[in-house]
Amino acid sequence: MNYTRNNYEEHALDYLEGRMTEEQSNRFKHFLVSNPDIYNEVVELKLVYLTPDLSVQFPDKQRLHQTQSNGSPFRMWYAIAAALIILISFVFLLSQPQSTQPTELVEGSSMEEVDPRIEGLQENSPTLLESDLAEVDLGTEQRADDVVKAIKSEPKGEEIINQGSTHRFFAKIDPLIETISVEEAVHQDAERQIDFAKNEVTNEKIETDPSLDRNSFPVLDQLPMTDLTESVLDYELKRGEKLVAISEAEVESDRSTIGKLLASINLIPSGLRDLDKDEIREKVMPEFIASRD
Amino acid sequence: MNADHYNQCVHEYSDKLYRFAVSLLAHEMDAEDVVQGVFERLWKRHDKVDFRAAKTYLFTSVHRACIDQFRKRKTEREVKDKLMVAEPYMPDRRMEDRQYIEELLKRLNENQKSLVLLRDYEGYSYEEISEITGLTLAQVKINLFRARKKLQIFLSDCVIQN
Repeated sequence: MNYTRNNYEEHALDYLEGRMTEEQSNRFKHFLVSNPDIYNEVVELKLVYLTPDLSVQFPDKQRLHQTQSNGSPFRMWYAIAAALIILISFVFLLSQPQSTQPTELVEGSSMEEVDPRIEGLQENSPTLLESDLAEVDLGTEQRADDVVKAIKSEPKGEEIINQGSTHRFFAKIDPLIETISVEEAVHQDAERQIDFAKNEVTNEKIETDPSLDRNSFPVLDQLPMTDLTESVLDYELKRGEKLVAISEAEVESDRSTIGKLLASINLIPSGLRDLDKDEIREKVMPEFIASRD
Repeated sequence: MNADHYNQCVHEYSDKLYRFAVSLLAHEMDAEDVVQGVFERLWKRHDKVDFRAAKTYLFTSVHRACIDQFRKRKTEREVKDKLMVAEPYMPDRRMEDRQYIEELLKRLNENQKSLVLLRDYEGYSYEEISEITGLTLAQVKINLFRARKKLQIFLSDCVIQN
């Protein structure tokens, strides 16, 4: 190998540390003699070597030692942390309230029938705030459950629940209890309103209660809970079911029943309260229109 | 490698690794963290690491960890380097050896520091240093030569000033 000014750095240490063959060493010496500046540079390097300060030692070396053949000392802590996370998650899940299952109340109903309508309600209800949606009044939910149970406990109430059109009403009410905002009750006495609904279902004569302002629910009495934007035709095409024409009397009966049920649990979709009654008849109540046609 | 082998590594190499890291980082706490982290990783992989290769594994890991530390502190180090250039070092006769070595090492870049320490402190061959640092054999020799040249110039300046 020829030593040059371009490659001497790679070989200088081998020369100084005696790791060259005799022939290589002689050739490198020849190169150094030919380049005096590099000669001085290389020879002086012999002086500079560092020695470690042995007083510098790792503190508390014992903590690095291991006694187990498997696993790291941190594995146990990882396992404890994982167990705690699982335990906390389990407790959190158990602490969550059980939601009302509408399909248990009404056979043949499904959430798929209800969700599009709820979305429609939300889109067409400018006063329905997200904060309202986020809040679920557990007390109201419980009262609604009580109402349904109370109705089912009555002979005619069970019959109404299993009827066709009312069947749909119940299927549509329950998701509202879970998802749509609940306004502050106009009438705080829930027990009295439950009795009111029960009396209505059983066709018992309702005693006039002056404190119950029925004008507070003008929309609810005519609310069959369908998509605001759907026409009768759209409704039938979308749902794949033919709307059943029912008599005015039945409509009135259904409306009053569902209105009172909603009233009893203080469910008033706020976005619907301001709608014109005629508009509701056209857009909100396809069943009503169908029955008139 | 079993637990006995691992503990033997702790006994034989922890101080050397710590000195290596302290010299590279010039920071005892950081060096302690680096060495502890390296031994934790070795224990996690102890069943996959051959005891005979453990020393190289440990020094390689510490070297890489220190390089990572250097990168994190790059801006700070650049400022320090500029300050060092601006203020010539005045050797103190009472200075301890360790401080003296630290002052010497400050004149080197990260790679040069590693090479000098591995060679002078641990007596590694150039081939082993190449394996630990990931540099080619030629790069190791050239960088080490330049590092020693820097140290020589620094020492010459100290002699002249004294």
